[in-house]
Amino acid sequence: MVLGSDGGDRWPFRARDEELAVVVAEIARAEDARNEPGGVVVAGPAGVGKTRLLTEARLRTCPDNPLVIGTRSAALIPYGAVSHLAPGSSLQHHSDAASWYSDVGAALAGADGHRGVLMVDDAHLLDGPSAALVLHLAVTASVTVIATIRHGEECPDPVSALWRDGLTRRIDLQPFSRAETEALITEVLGGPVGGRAVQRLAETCAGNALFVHEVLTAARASGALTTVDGVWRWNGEVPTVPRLVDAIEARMSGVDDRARRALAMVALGEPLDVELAEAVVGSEALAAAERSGLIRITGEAHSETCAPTHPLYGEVVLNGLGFFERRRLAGDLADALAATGPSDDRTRLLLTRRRLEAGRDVSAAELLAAAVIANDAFDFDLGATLADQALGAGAGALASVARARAANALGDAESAARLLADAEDEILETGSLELHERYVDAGFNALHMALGRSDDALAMLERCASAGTRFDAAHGVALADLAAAYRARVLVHRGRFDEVITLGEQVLNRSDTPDLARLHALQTTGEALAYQGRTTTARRIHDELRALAATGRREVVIGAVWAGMQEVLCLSQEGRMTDAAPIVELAVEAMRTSADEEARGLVHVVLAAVRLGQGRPVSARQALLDAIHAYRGFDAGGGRVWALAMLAQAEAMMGRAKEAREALEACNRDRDALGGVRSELDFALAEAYVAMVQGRTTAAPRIMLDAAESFDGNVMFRIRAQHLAAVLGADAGPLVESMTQLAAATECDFPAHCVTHVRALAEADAPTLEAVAMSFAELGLTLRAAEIAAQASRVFRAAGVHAGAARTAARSRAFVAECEGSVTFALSGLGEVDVLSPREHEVAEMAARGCSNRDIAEALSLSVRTVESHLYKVFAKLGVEQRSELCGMLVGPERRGRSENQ
Amino acid sequence: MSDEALYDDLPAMMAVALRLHRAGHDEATIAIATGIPVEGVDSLVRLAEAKLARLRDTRD
Repeated sequence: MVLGSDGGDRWPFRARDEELAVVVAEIARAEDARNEPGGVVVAGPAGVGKTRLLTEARLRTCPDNPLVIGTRSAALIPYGAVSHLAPGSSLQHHSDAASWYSDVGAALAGADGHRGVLMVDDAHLLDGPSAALVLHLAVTASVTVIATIRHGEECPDPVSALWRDGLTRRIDLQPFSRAETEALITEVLGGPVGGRAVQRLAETCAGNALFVHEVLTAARASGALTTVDGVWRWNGEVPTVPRLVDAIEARMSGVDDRARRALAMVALGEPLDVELAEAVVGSEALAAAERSGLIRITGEAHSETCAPTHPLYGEVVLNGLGFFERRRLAGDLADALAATGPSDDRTRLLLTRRRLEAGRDVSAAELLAAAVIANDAFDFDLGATLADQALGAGAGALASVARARAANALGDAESAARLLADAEDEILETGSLELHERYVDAGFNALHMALGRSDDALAMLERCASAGTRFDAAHGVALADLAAAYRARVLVHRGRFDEVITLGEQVLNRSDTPDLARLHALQTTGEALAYQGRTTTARRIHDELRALAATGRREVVIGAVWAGMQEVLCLSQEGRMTDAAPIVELAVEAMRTSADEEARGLVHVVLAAVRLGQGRPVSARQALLDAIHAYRGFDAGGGRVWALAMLAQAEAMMGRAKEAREALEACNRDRDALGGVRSELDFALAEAYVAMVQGRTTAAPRIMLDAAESFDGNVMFRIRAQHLAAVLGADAGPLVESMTQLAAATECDFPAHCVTHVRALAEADAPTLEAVAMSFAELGLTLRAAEIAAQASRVFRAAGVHAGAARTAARSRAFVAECEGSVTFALSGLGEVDVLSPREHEVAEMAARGCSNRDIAEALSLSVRTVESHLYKVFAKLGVEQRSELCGMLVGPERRGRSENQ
Repeated sequence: MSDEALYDDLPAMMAVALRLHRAGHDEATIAIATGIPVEGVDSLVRLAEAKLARLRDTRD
């Protein structure tokens, strides 16, 4: 279902199957239990989907029955809501109400005498007499009552009696979970939705179906929600939605001014400490807001905080305040915060913001501290604003560093570099090591990571290291170590891994290395070791990273995340994609809600690398589009061009030549400035895959061989490039010796697998190729396994071993079926292997599951002899000799269809 | 996949109700924890069980 631009299409009914089943089952149960009351009262907050549930139940059970709708206007007229139920009868014609009630009950009964169903929407708004009628009909079991009521609204007693006296069940309809909201959004938009867009929508709407509808419709109309490369992305603020504001205003229509003021104050301070809230608005106002369902209490005992029940409540009530009223509230809150004293960074930042909003004087030091806190919380827009104000107030060089950090994150590294250059002398004059650390980090990110000016970055590091001699010995050592650690990052970027390892050892072997320098040294050394295939040693580094992070110091806690990512890097170098996938999936999930775009981009690039290794281009493409979107502000260290190189591979693997070429061209535009050695293998692969998908099949292996030559001294890059050249058709013989020497220098088995593969190719050793294919499949390198099995099939066929050719071709096809529709040159030429007929496939599937011939015969209504005949043909076509070999060689109809559709 | 891992995909109050129910708490306690009348607790727990079963089937 795709939402029309006006949002007018019918909204899908989702995630309410269980509730609907309860209502429908209750109607059926009451029908069977003729004299017992029955029904359901559906309760819930406004917009959660009560009316829709009622409508769906009515459509399924009694579409022609009249509906009763409670409204505020009808509530003023006795029986105003129910007068239409018995058209031929009115109360005036009856001596007492009970006899008219009987007429109404009879009018609602089915023509065949079935018990009627009375559906009442917004039963809390019924006038007293109408409510009494509904209760009477329920008590006398004349009808089955299905009613909705709204949470937080007072119900007429007869309506409350429906569930309190056990006449009906009560269902409290819950807001959608995040997963349910995501499924609804995806269905409505008719395509994949980026993780941040889902997050934003889920947070804004808090599971409220009405809000999802209104926000989605408005966001599409305003352009805040648009498709980029086929994925829905969020680009902007939640638009003001008049219908939504109306709905929320209606929700708050009966709320008194004290409760509104309490809500506004809570929204200004969200989440606001309970005691502080009591001090600033008073407990009575808070209690009124809580009773009205506008605020909620969260947190542990003795540290409770209050927040608006729904994010949009606060926004609407704040937008409704006049300038002076809001300024006064902000001032009251600031005074209360100042009186209690801010307890943490969040409340320190809150205090500064409210002081500014209230027009109070704020010192340069306070503005600067707030800017640093905002940056640390990844709110870089706020960080930039506060840093600008701090600069204006005379905070000097310290504010320049905070402003530069924000500028880097907001994609303006030129400004950051300029600001830092202007302030460098002043910064290096101060004796603050913390400022120096922040300066080095911001300068390095601007010059090396964002602008690709690595030589300038190295010069800046050199100046910092030299400046260290002006201070005490500890300060000097710390600055020198820090400069060395950052210099190592440039060396990693340039592929000088052995130098990085040597440099790292020098820093790490000393006991007085400061934590921050140690963190960076561990990171660069671990990475360099992994790229050299020394994964055992690298894992010892990971242990040190985790131990450092466990100290809890703010600057180094990130080490735990880096250790996780480096473990994935090691597993990838070892070819162990099956083991790497769950780790990186967890990391991606953990980053879904993070505001750290750079880290989110990185984990998506890593996920894509694993997916490409697994031969899953569709999933890889999705992750890469997420990564490219995350890097739109700040292309950290060439992450965006790396993602584009992988995107070109994914598109080529999907057979999309035009899209692959476009991604490669986009990558090449910035590659020289930002790409490092880390991504060189992927650049080469992108070139080779694009060549293949364009039909330039002899160019592809040449590209990989040239890349291998350029990786002199980089063990894993070189061996992997040589291996891929062989996979793509390069002459394998000349590669064996070089690869064997390289593999001997590593600490993992995967290079040896690659050597075995290339040697088997050179020697046309089909059985070994088949064995290598199976070992690659076991590692999770499924597409590569398919390609190697296809090579085995061709060698078997050339040798006249038809059974082997058929068997490996079938294996290759089975592997490919797991690869999301991948098409690669290396899969071609599998030969004219017979395809199983549907019946043969059915028999083979059962045999592979362990069924005996007799079981199969009985299940399929065949004779045992016919089953034997089918199996004979299956064995011949697949080149196998035993039924145990069938497992993993069959491509099921469902899987075939899936891969063909992708 | 364990039920514990699936709780996150349930509506929040359903997860709370189900955890408390499985831990042996009575309906009055669950009603207080979830902010609904005690008469609605039985349905809430049953619905949570049904949704969890569907999630389990979907993930298996």
